[in-house]
Amino acid sequence: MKTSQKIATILVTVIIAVVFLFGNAVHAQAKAKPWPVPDKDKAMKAPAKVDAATGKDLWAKHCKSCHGSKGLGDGPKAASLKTAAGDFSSATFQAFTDGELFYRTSKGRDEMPAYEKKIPEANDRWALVAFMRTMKK
Amino acid sequence: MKKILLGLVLLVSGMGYSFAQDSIPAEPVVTQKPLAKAAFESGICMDNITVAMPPAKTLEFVLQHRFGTIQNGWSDLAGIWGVSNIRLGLNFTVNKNVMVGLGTTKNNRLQDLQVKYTFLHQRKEGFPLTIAYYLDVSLNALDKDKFGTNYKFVDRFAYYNEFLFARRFNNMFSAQLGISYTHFNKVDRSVDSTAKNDALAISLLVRAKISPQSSIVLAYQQPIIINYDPAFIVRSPDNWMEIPKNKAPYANISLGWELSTSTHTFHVFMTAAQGILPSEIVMHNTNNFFNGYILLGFNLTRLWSL
Repeated sequence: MKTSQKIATILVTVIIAVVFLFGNAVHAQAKAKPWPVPDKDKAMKAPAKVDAATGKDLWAKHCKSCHGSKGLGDGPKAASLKTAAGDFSSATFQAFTDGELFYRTSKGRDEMPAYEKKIPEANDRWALVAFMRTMKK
Repeated sequence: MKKILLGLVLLVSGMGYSFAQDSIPAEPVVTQKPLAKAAFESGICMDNITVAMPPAKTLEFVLQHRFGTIQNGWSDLAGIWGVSNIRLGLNFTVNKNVMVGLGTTKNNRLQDLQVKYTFLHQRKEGFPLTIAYYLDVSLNALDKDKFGTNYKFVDRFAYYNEFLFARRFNNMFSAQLGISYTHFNKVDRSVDSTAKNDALAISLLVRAKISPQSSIVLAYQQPIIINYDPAFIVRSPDNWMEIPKNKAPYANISLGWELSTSTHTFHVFMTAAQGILPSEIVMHNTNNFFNGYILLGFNLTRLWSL
């Protein structure tokens, strides 16, 4: 092999190695920042008749891909999020009021969509909150 | 005396008060029964239009693809390498009752505009159906020599109107009946001199949910050509009605699988019609499903909330 070909081969190998080693660097996910909820929304209560089974269906369609089937923040898209999707089974999460969970589901923030557009019926979003309560450890 | 007068005044005013109309009780607040969940996940289901509409102010991208028929087996990978048809569309939901859209289709270079309007929504323990009207106007953009003699621009247009009646029976099962009327301004009479411009059609679409995100879907559509010439219907010895392939459109049958997520809906299915626009399926389906003229197709929709 000629010298110039050898140099070209070595150069290409080094470039490929650098891209492979550093091009896929994983950035650590940030923990979710505090998410204040207006007092009026915090105090809201779920309607008397709420269907957790509906909530389960809606969870499978809208939420499972990021939050996981059991709300552990381990859905297939979770790893690609900038902010960790959270553990909905934890005591910290379950201590939030129904109103807080409803507000955050409805309004969204950053990567979390505002589901009041995709799920316009409030009863359906309350059903999601009811389903989140079943994730308690 | 003054006390008597005062007493009388008070008495009369009290009587006047008691004779006055009771205050009209506040009308009971009539709360509408809540809406039932949508009967279908998407506004299209295989070859059929459904009553479903995305939420208001949603943009929907639609990709519909049909492969060739499976007749050639392995030689063209069951039609996957064969002649195909494709449509790209964009729909916008103006409000919860109105959706408008446009699209372009490969076969016959069809450009279409569509509108869907929902009259009535199914309600829980209330009105049992969702009823909608769908209109699609298409323009054939092929060269004008494809339209024969005495060409006029309006020859390119076709119109499809459909009334849709759908019901979500329970979490697992939904069904829809469609009644449509199709009109082509100009039809090709070079092969079949009796070809007609108008057709009615009746369709039935059923969906059975097998998991929170997946369903099996089945549809049947029967065209009824208006003023169809019965002289071209031939009865075979076993009494099945045989309609010569170049004389009339065949019924369309579709069977497939639907997967729905928050922002996407997918259909993978087998069907007879290679047309994608409903007007093409009703008037120009030359594939008989029961003779094995079947093709594979897929649909993909993607939603953006604006």
